[in-house]
Amino acid sequence: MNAPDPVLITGVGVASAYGHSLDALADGVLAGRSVVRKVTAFDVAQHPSQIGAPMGPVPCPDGEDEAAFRALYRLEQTFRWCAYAALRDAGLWRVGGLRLGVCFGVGAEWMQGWEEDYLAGGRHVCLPDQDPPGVVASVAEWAGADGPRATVSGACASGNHALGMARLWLDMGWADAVLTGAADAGVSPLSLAAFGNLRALSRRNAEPELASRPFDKGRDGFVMGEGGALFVLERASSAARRGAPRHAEMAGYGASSDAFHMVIPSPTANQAADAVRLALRRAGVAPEDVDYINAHATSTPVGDTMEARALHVALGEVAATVPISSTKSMTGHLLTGAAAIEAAICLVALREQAVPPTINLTDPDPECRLGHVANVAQRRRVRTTLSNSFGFGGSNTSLVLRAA
Amino acid sequence: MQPTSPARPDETTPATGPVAACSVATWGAVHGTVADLEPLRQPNAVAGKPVSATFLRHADELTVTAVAALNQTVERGELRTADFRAWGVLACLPRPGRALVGHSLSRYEAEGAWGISPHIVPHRCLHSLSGALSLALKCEGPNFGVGEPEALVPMACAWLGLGLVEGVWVVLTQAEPQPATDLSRSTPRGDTGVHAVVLALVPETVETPLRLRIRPAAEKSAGPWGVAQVEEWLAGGAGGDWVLPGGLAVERRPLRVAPTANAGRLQEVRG
Repeated sequence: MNAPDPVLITGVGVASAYGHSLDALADGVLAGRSVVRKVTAFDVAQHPSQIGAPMGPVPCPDGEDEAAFRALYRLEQTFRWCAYAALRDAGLWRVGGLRLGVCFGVGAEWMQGWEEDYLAGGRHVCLPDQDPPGVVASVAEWAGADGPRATVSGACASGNHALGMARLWLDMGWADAVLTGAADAGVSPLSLAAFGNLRALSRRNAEPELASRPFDKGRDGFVMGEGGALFVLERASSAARRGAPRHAEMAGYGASSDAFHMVIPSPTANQAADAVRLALRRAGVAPEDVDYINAHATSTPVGDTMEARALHVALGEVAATVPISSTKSMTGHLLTGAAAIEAAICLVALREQAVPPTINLTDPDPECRLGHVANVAQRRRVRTTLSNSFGFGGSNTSLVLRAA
Repeated sequence: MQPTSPARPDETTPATGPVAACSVATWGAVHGTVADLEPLRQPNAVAGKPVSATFLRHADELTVTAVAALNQTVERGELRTADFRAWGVLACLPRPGRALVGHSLSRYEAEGAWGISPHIVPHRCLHSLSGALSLALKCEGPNFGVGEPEALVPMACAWLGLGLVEGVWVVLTQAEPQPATDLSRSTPRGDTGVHAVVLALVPETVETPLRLRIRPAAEKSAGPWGVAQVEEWLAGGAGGDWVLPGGLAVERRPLRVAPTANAGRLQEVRG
């Protein structure tokens, strides 16, 4: 991936529980503010976990019919908003004459769409011929993108896989620019019940803001969140000619699989470490040159320990000192959207020269001996970031972004 | 930093060239119905590698079908002893879980949260098939689900062309005909057709009877291909190239006479 003409992020669109812009996300995470609260959109009395970090309504893009927009599934509204914001930021909103690829991380769009329809009284789930087109096809048509298109899903690693594939399309010369990233709108009755019954979610229902506590000894599961981010990737030479924004260089991506279990991470952490090493090697970055790690750490007992182990395997002694935080402590776990929102948070760290904290980290787990940025953001030099995302099915991914 | 008006993109980008290709080490397909699947849910091994007896207990019907196709393909390709650690998996599981999701929504109304299976998320999402196959084959390269079947081969060629993996398992599945379901059952009706085609792709430098090459395409895609159409094309029975949305096409380039009998009924691979 060390191409002579680097690949840059030239546009960003964000949807989050803080608000629907990179600035709103930056303000929230650098203030160390949790958006986790009791779920009120539906009756949660019988749910083992009753908390989450849902988004408010996403804005309708300028020029769109508000009623038609609101008739779309929430997930598609989210993607359309992020697509519009990212392309506008890059100066490419509905600009013809280029091969614009679309590669989104989406894992459960059908489940979510059928559920939303069902709860509104519909029965699309029973009627295959009434399924709408998938969100990638729909957004690509809407945005006038006529390059390659694909939906990819590596569960909670989907966003990094999407960015990695978008980067490959540019490397192969198949697209001039690619709109890529991921989002999720999964705080729903079915998902909250399924993850709750899987015993993956925190049951700290009485203290929502304290529930997501990655790397803390008191952690008891993750908290579901919503949102995501889309990015425009293009070559630096193209960006320079257009005078496009230069948010960061997408310097490296690494991916591997545990081949161990569908939902439990491999206890050796060797494959997760491979993903980290691959991303760094492709970026040409040494472990000591990483200025900030955005951890996957979801606040589950097994997962956080595994990630700490993987970082020690991949980085050696440096793992104990590189500033690291899990922003899921504030945002909740955005599932399919997690990697993308965390890539956006890495852009915040690069832009603001500040590292967001892991909040609720009052009693660090000694098995997670890392360079924690606990509870309060730190101002510091940030030139290179590493973001881990792991997922069901044994997916491991790492993404390296560098100041451009 | 943002341009004040949308500038035109880089128009000097050279046209896409013949940028990727791969060799097909082996491939295979199976067809059947949901009613055929129950005996296939407890394999002792997948592709010659032992798996837990519960490996497919909660898997959806198309994953069971894909495993049957995989076993057949490995057998025909004489790959039972091969090591796939440096391989990746790309798999398409279209619109997964319709019956179970519908049934779960109905149960949620009746019983509340406790009636919902915890297996619905790991086993009924786009990534479920690639994750399961990666686990069974012990593939430690990347695995992920892909929503559009036509995107699979170009992605695999890109991985191989850039040397990111030694091989890629590409899997397309399809439920067709897919009848309307009702909310009373958690599995599709027994007469629902299930289909899978599996390709083992390796770098183009490996000589095999069949190569696939990605080329730029000016022509429009005729629409998505189903499993049967891909199978016919691989066997040389369908003319033309697999034209994809977005200006790419996959060419089929046989080097020798390709095998013509790679398809089978599910019953053939039982046991």
